[in-house]
Amino acid sequence: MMPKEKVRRFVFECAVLIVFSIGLFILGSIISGEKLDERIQFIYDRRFENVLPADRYSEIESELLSGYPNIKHVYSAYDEEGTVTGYVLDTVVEDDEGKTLHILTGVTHDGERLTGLKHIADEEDPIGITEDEINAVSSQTIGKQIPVSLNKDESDKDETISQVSRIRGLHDGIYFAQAKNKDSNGYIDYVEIEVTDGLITKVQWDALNVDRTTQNRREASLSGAYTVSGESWANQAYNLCHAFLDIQDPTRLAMKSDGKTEIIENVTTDIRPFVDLVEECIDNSRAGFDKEAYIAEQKAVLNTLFEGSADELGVMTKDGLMVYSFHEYPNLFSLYDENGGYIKELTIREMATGPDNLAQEGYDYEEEEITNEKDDTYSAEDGYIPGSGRSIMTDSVDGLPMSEIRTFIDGFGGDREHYSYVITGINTDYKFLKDYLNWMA
Amino acid sequence: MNKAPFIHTEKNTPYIFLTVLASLLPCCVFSVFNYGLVSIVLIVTSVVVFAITERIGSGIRKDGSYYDMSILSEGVIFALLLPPGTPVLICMAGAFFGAFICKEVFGGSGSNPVNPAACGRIFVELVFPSYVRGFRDPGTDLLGFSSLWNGANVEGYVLPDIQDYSFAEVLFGRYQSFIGTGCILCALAGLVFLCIKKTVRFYAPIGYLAVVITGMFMLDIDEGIRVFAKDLMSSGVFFAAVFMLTEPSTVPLNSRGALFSGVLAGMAALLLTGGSGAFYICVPVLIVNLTTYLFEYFASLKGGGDRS
Repeated sequence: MMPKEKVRRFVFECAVLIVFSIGLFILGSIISGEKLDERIQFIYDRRFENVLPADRYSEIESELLSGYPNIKHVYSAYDEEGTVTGYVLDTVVEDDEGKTLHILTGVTHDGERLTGLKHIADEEDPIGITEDEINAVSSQTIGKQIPVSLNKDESDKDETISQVSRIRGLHDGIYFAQAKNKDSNGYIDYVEIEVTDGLITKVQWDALNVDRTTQNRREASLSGAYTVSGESWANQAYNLCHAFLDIQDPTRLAMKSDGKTEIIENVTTDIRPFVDLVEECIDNSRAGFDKEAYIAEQKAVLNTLFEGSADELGVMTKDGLMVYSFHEYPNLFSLYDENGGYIKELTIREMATGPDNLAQEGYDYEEEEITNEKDDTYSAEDGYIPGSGRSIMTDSVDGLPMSEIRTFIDGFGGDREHYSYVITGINTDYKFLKDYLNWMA
Repeated sequence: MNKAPFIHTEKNTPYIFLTVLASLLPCCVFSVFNYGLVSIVLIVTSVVVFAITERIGSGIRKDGSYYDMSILSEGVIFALLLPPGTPVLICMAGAFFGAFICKEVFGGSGSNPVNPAACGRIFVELVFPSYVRGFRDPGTDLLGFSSLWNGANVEGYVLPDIQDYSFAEVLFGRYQSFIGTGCILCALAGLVFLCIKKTVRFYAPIGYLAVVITGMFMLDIDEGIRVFAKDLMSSGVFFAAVFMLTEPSTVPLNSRGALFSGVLAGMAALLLTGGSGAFYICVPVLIVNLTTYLFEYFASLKGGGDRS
């Protein structure tokens, strides 16, 4: 045991050491404090200058990142005035064998466009992508909207033999049906189908808003302005359309009395508007009443209510669809017998051609074995693909419906699989930013 | 009654290790100010695991309750060699390995052939490499503790080049490093304290530093004195020299043997330049430890050397 005096002295010496250390720390902080931020910004600037040039960057700490294990770091980029100009995402894509691709992507502040793409060649077990392949993707994606998909390669066009159940009596063409009344959010649902060789090959479900300044439902859903429980409405609509094309028959969607279905994965929304309208489209197809005729009749109905054409009334969209809710005229489409007894609600087609019993007859089916190229039948099923007519590789990319894909690129030269890893990285970043910006809102 | 001889000296083993522990205070204070809560938890955890393990080892050996304080300083040194993003379980695993396998198995205090802190650190570096890469800037997230459970998010992270830091930042330990090895001034403060107390011998550190500094100077001379200075200050060699190459039980006691083993360690450090920081600091220490018996043997053959 040390004598008390020794202990006291030792404690004093320790205290001196601690005070000295604190003094040293404070001195160091004062001298090097400003340098720290400068240096961090210098490092960021050097790493990100080719991806998203900015005045300064700061790392985002978001709990959302836990849902995106491929995204390692996310940084906000700011201009001189401190306004967010975009985001830099540090992403590692891993293949089935554990090989990785490390990329940096820059995206504009609204999460819409890619500002830069850079390969960080520090992977321990790289997938072996070449700089030429990276440059090929960069040249086709930088400045373009995301998400991204590869165009279909000719070699991917497999011929498949499928057993298809088709409804008898469908006429080829484009058919359309629209709800007569708006819903509680002001949306008027519509469905459009395309029939080729007696098969329904495309279907689109969307809704226009009576407030013309409001986005249609799909766009509003993708931007986060319109939300439903579960997946986004756009994704659910996509899944529903996909399932419908497989089975070709709305009655097989197993809609319950509450308008929900349990047989389609990730579809929790009310599918009644879709089922009703697609049935009307099928009846229109059976009757040969195409989209052009339908819209012409809609305009005619409006003309009976108001003086002046639909165009003059300002209810037509630039795509030629009518946006008008007839909820103020509840009896306009009602059919009564001679004694004033209610019979049924007429469709637009029946308004034009007279009442018929197509809706009550039910469907007659035929089974047929068909040989086709995958994408010809099952690709762009739920809407218009930008630059339509371009073939695509699959009907969804990285869990994103094709309808959401904004840019299609060619994988000229190199390994197509390598391109797909880069695209997966970009699309993962897109999905994160969509969630993040939605959360921020 | 204890057996003779009865030696009465102020500089007994507990006192020596108490001064070593005190000399580590500047490094501990810096680590706490730089990395906050995680630093405190890692140091305390390591010390507690080292102490409990020694207690268990002592109980198994049934050799009484002798404490020479070495276990505490080794616990602190081990913790100071960890990056701030190290999970607490990894810290416990390394501390247990160092204390039990490298010390208690060989007979406890004074009988360990190698430095337990260095051995524990190399163990976690080899077995859990991805868990000991969690570096971050000093002064950030001082109250954060999530890395203690989950580890730091290290994928895709690149440790900044030391040359990107200013001279002042490197001098004051304001760069990404292990929690306690960053500030050369703290190691030097510890050195001064130990010199004043005259409780440790510096032959091995002198040989080690002479070789490392000379070699590093020759490697960096083309790039300028600032590059050399930053490399030297951030290398952790002063920490190793002051706190790890002065441990009496694992370093040759005779002056020439200690000097030669220090030179050998310095050469090993130069060979490991550019590798992992843990290997760079700890492997030379283990080389000194493992050659200690050799140098002691040659010294005993010649009957020379200062063995006081």
